[in-house]
Amino acid sequence: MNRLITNDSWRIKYYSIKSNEILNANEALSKKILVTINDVDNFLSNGLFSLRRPGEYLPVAGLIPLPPKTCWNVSEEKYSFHSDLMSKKLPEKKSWEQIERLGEKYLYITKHKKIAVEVSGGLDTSIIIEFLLKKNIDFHIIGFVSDRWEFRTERAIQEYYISKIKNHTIFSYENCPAFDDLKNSPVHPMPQQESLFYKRHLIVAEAAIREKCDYILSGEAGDQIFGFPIDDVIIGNFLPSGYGYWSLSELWNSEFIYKNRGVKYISALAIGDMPGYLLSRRCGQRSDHMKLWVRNELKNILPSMLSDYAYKGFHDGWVAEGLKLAQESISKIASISYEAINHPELEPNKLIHDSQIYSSMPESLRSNFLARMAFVNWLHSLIQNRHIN
Amino acid sequence: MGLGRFYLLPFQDGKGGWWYISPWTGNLIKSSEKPFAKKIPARISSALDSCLNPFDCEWNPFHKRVAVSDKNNIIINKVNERLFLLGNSRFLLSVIYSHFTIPIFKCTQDAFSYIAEIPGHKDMIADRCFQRSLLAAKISQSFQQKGVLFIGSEISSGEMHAWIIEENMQPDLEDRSWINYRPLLAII
Repeated sequence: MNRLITNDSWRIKYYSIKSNEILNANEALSKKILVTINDVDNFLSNGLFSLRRPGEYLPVAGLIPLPPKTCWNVSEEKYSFHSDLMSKKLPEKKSWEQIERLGEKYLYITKHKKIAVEVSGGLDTSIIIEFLLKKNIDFHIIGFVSDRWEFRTERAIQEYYISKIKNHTIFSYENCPAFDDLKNSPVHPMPQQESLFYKRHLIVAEAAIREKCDYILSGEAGDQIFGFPIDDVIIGNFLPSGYGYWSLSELWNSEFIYKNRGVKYISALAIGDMPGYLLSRRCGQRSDHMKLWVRNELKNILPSMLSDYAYKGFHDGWVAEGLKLAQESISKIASISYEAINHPELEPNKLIHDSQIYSSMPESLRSNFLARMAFVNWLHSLIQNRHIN
Repeated sequence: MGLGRFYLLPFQDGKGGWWYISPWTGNLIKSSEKPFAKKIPARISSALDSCLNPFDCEWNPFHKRVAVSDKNNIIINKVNERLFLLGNSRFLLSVIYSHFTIPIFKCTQDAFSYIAEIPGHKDMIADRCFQRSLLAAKISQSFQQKGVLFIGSEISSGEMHAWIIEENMQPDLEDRSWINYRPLLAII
């Protein structure tokens, strides 16, 4: 029987089909998770974005994840997105001054709290940094700088901000490979691909704690707001699904890495009315994957490296290198997981083989590999922490 | 006459391996010994500086499309079809085919602006980068004197890419991913 289930909180909740309860992560884990062989197929068919994209999905381990402030249509066999509780109308076209004032309003909430911003060397975090600089806010920047060839443009932008902002904590990206320390992944109630890259966020969270920062602002959401096609966005209408905070932010890391440590990880471009304000400037534009319109509109604020160019360093090499380094831990967590759930897609030798040919895989197979890895990592974390039934 | 001189740009990875791209097959090759590489001319040396310092390189994503006659439009599409037919696997043959130039555009930037709208290239930069660059080199007048076609690779993943640098400029208005690839072979 279909029913509507609502999560009115700001945390990810889990609906248990068996007990007909809405649980938080700890409650879901304390009830012991029952994993079956069908859950592998269910999760693989869901794809990698069940916690970020509206759609129709299959439950995994009898649980249905409910992102913050959302309502879902739920049955025993499947669940689908129903609505955003915080859905907003697209306002009349806003000026950059109005957008700035909205940013100031949100900044007021964080008054007397210390802010850090991730410095990725990309456009989105740079816009946030420039805004804070303009407002004379004292803030910290945290980032990973890489010596890799493909990151030389990001590196130049990071160095530009490091030279401007005295409070900074910079790590070497090479010391934080992808898939690092999978054996110690935080335990979580449902598989999620973000768990494969958690270490990078853990390092940022620990740096924020050392620097006594309460908030970390990320540039997540910039791709959707500044770049994705918005043909169906019309002034006065509600923003289409996919522009809610839950779709625009990194929920999993916020929940399982930062919140547990008392740090708030915020997607600054996605909060409150900000997506609508920013999108209002884009009405009638087509897809702009280089985000040229915003580079052009903010050319007086941004360094020319960002306004006159739209370079983007790919992380493919970092992922490929990480997979090479993680062979032993992949083999170990896969063996333990495969003992518990004997599904051919989780077979350790197959996973190792696929990790070695990852770079030559087409995109669809890469997604499938990452989903299998996420499942194995999740299962291993449950087994290690004795949360499995 | 256009493309035809190959210059290896071998790279040592710090683990004892030398990486280069075969001018015969276009394949990425790893070797324990440094391959023979001829001295590079100033034109390539200057283009390599642009690769190393992308922010010193000129790039204009708003470049306007230049109109061409119906006759030239037919020629460009035919050349494009042939390059697609040759594909990546007939690497050397594709370069030889591009050696015989048909200078329709004054500069390579104009050629790329036109190519960007051709079906098969529109939104397909990554998949057809080699054919796209060869086509631009073949139909551009300025490439013969000033352009360098690079084939590069992201070594860890083995992914490859082709692009052109012409007089301190990246003339392809839609290609922003070229910075990810280390130049390993130059063709002029």
